[in-house]
Amino acid sequence: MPRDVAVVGAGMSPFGDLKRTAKSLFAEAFSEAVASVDKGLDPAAIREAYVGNMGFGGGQIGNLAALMTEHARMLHVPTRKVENACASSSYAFRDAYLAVRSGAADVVVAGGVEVMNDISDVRKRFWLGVSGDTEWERLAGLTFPGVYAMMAARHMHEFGTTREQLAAVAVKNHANGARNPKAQFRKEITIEKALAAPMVAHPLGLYDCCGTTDGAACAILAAKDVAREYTDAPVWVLGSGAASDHLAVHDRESMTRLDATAAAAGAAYAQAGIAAKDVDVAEVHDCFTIAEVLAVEDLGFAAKGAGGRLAAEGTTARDGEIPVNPSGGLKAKGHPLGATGAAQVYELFLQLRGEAGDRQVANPEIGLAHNVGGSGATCAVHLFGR
Amino acid sequence: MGSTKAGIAAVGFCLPRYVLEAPGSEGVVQRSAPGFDEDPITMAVEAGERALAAAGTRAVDVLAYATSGTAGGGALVAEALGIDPARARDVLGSPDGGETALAGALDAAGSGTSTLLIATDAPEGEPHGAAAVALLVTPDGRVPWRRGTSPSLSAIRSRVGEAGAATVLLSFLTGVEPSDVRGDVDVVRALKGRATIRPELYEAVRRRGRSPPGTEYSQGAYVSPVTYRAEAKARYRLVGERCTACGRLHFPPREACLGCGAAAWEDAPLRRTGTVYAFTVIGKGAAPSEFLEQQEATGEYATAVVALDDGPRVAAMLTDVEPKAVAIGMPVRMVFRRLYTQEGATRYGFKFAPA
Repeated sequence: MPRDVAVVGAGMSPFGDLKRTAKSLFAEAFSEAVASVDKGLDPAAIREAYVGNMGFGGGQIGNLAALMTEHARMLHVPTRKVENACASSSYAFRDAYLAVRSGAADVVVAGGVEVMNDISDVRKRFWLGVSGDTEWERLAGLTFPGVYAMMAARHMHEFGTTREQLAAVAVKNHANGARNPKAQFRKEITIEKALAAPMVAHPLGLYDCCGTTDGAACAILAAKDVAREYTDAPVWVLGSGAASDHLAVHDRESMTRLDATAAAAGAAYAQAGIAAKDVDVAEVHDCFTIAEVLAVEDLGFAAKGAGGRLAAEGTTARDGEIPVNPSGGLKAKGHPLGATGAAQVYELFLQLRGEAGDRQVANPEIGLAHNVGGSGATCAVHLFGR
Repeated sequence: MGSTKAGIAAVGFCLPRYVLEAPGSEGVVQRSAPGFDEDPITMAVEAGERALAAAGTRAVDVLAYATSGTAGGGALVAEALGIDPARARDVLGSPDGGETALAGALDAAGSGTSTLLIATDAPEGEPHGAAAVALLVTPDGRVPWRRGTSPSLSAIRSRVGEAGAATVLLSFLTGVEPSDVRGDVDVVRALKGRATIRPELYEAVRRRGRSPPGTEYSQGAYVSPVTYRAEAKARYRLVGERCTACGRLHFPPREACLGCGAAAWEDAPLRRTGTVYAFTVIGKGAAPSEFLEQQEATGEYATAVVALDDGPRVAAMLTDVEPKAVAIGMPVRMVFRRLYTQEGATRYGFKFAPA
């Protein structure tokens, strides 16, 4: 029989341009996750470890998980790296969830880490493109901002979405990030400032794009049978869905829809027995402002084509009808590729337990995490409940 | 025995995108100048494509590639033209190479061998010129040739500069009766209205291939030569694949049919035209490292998803166009150009230019 699974602890390092090593960031996130377990946890109880990491910069690209777990006080544990570009640690989380759900292990850790700011700008440009389709997209001179820019151009062309609506996403997420002590960018911005910023890839300007970030995050999962040994306030995993799609955006039927998101969300909603309208708070993959617009549509919070209005009309604000990215999202909290999915779980762990401080959403009962790899070739969606 | 009928049956030529205003000796007032993604190989492909399109056949026995430089290119040009690379011969290292190869081609035609001769040049070093000429020489071609039969040589040289192996043959075209041959021979018209190249860009083109510091070696997004060449027909000639089980068309090629899962294919050459489906402009400094050298020379560039007129979509860089002039729905046509140089190897492939 499949078992119910709870998150009993979660931790996160600061996000930013930190001049720190991957092992120090991962160890900090893991230590905080252990410390967050209300009734205490001996790391020796952890039976499996899953570490999300993209390998940015090429440092310790092999056997990274052993190094991370070693420095996180876990020796002789079955560990592995999970790689699905920017969705690496949501897939690490899914694998951890499946291990517990299946009965293979009672207590496991899922985390992620990425260090992106320890290499030169020229080397960064190489690595920023590696998760797109290298054989065709890359050879067209495309970058990730470029691919998302074309999605934005199509969304504007097909639905009349405006640059102002995209800027409203950035303004909202910066406002949330300003209240998150661990966020990379803790500064509010205005629509005017966003619109006046230099173009990165037309029609996306500087504030339509997330930064490059160092950081790590971890979650500790436990089977229902043992969860109460660790906490009286577990956060239950209600559903886990994941899907892939064509790697190259030109091969997809539509450029204004991420089918991987729709498929992953559909599976998660079905497992949990809920619908989009039941979600009280969501952490979605806003590597670019247009990505949040696509996400709120593909997750079912808005009709296709209407997503541009949500941030502009306040629907997705912290006190709105469906708060999206109260952490600041990838946009303001930061996007250390392999750590982002785990950091979304960390945020929802806090939000659902009422521990999110200045950025707490009012009394949420159901949270959704949505993590995308690259431009939508992979996606994982998780639903959480109190 | 040689037939007296052997001669030139079809022609094509290519002048590069720009002219350089740089007067020189012997009455030279302008010199043809390649853009950043043009070189003797891309010009040879364009000239050859025009000659073959005019002839209505790709059945040639030999492809002769003549240039005054020492870098060969016949096999690559043949592959880009859909001709077996084993039929390619290079005639290198002499500004007379075009005439030498043409004399040989005419001899061979007398014995029944057809030759697509392509003379192409863009000499480095001092300002010279740039052009390519393709001549399809066949046993029943009507246009004869002898050395020294190019009356307009000085007139052409004054507008093209010294394009090595191609100059004399380009001049020769101006004396050919259009009714005697297939293909465009109106060199004089093509010389009009070309854009002037900025001196800095001209210098950058001459220096290209020397990667900026930090980009000499591939890192994260490497496409190996083996992987790249595995799909050369798609990259060079826009040839897709049709599933022989269900008929579904795929471009770029796939390992299994999206419609029925079969993996049996027949080549499907696609029309080289389409429209811009989506586009973006990659700002200065934002390009992938492979394109950093180009961007330093030419500034921001437009790149797109092109909806081909035969259905499939593909990502492609746009060229010969100001980024500000690009719009969704704009008609475009495929051109064969340089993409980038890495580890000393230049990758060629398709881009799209305004139709």
